Amino acid sequence: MKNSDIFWALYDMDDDLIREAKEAPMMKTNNVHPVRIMLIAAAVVVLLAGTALAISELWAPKLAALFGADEKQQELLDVGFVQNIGVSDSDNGVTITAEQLIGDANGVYILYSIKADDPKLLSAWTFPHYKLTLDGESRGKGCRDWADPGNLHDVEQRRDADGTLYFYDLLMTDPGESFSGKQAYVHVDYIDDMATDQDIFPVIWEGDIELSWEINYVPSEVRTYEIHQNVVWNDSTIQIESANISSIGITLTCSGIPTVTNDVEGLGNVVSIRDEYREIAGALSSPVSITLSNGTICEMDRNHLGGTKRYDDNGDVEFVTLFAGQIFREEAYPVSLCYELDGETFTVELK
Amino acid sequence: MDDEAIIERYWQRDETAIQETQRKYYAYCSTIAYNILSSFEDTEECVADTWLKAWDAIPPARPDHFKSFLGRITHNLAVDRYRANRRCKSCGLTEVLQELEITSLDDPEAEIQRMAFKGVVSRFLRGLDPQTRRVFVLRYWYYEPLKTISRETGIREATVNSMLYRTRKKLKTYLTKEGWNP
Repeated sequence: MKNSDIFWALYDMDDDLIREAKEAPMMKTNNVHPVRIMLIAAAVVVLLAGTALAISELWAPKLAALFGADEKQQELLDVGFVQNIGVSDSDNGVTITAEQLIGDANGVYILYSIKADDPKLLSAWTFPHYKLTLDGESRGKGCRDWADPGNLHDVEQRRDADGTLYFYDLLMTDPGESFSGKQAYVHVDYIDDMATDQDIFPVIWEGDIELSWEINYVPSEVRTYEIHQNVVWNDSTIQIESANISSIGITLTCSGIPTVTNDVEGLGNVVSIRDEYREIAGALSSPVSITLSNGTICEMDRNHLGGTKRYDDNGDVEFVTLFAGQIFREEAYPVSLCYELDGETFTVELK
Repeated sequence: MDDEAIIERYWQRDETAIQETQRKYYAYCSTIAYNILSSFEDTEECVADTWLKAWDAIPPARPDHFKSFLGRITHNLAVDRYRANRRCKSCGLTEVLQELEITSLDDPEAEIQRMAFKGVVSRFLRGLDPQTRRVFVLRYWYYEPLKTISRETGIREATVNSMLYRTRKKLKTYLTKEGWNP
């Protein structure tokens, strides 16, 4: 046997052992010694002070971290690029604030924070359930997505030392659309905790929180490249027609992405979830590396990448957007994307 | 709704079976997938596929333990997806493989040999004290981060780490005695 066979032996572990591990009662965690709490608090104060000095006031630290924008890079970008929203509402011991918004021609990221009067209420896996409308219209399928890159993967980083949680929403524009001048309205009615060991997510807060503001930002400029490159995958030919690059992300316009269907009838919403499964689209939003015009090769991993897909009226994938967790600048723009798909490597040149 | 009633709905080809499954086991299955893949998007897809696999499997299957039946499907789908991705340096599973000193996740050798070792590992685990066994399974089947294991078991993170180290060594010795020849 090979070393990797240990993995497969563990993989085949008996069911009762798997069950037993999760069914054992939760234990109380050890109390932390008061001196340790004081030392931790002191360290947190030092860290917070350092962060405040390092990040300019223009970008919220969480947003800057999401896009990997240090102070110098933020200065290079258009001031109108970020909208400071600062709209809050409170109910039943919870305050939610729409903090900031950043956008390009393809969409906007909105950063929210949540604070609770009882800091124990919120965990790193707390998620609010909310509806968002723009000028009274809800954003439909494929136009709205949870932001998935960077810090959101590391749940610890979603939470500040004072217990404030952050979450992002990615709102994609339709082609040629701008959100500037539109009235955003967010209604949050409950929060649940998606922490691990429950069978059903408990609702930890219910109430009515309403946020409303006018969206106002200057979209980051974009460069568009005609590509017309074909990628063959599982006997399907996918055309990458063009790439649209802004300071914060790359959007590929695609066609021919196969729709995975299934023949199970009557599964209602589950089928719609399955219909959105398009592995190739997921792969296109996750390059292995991005080469910049100054020769730098940025190796990507899941801690840096975020992506989403947009669908046309037929439900086919039309655009794939990826966020690399870093700012692209004039002197260092992406010139190629390198992918691995089923063990094969291919490159999309953006020239 | 209890598991038997949900399974009965599968047998009657009642689509609400999947909704009930999702309601009851989404947290469990999504945690397994996320621990392996560290991606919300991949996790969503894995879990959606789990419901469809369950729909395809029941009937004819009538699982005795529905929760672990679903968990195993999610686990297998997530590992398949991890292997297909081949580039996820920051996935939870990568860290676990490093701990197990596994550099690549090749297919197992002959199926018969794999099944033989399945029994060996389960026997080894049954010989451990319950707490050590639980820590080991949480880490090497559920791929729970050390911090989570510490929270769930009440054992300090450093102690969890050393328990795992000692148990890995014991497992290798045990497997060698049982004929494993790396």
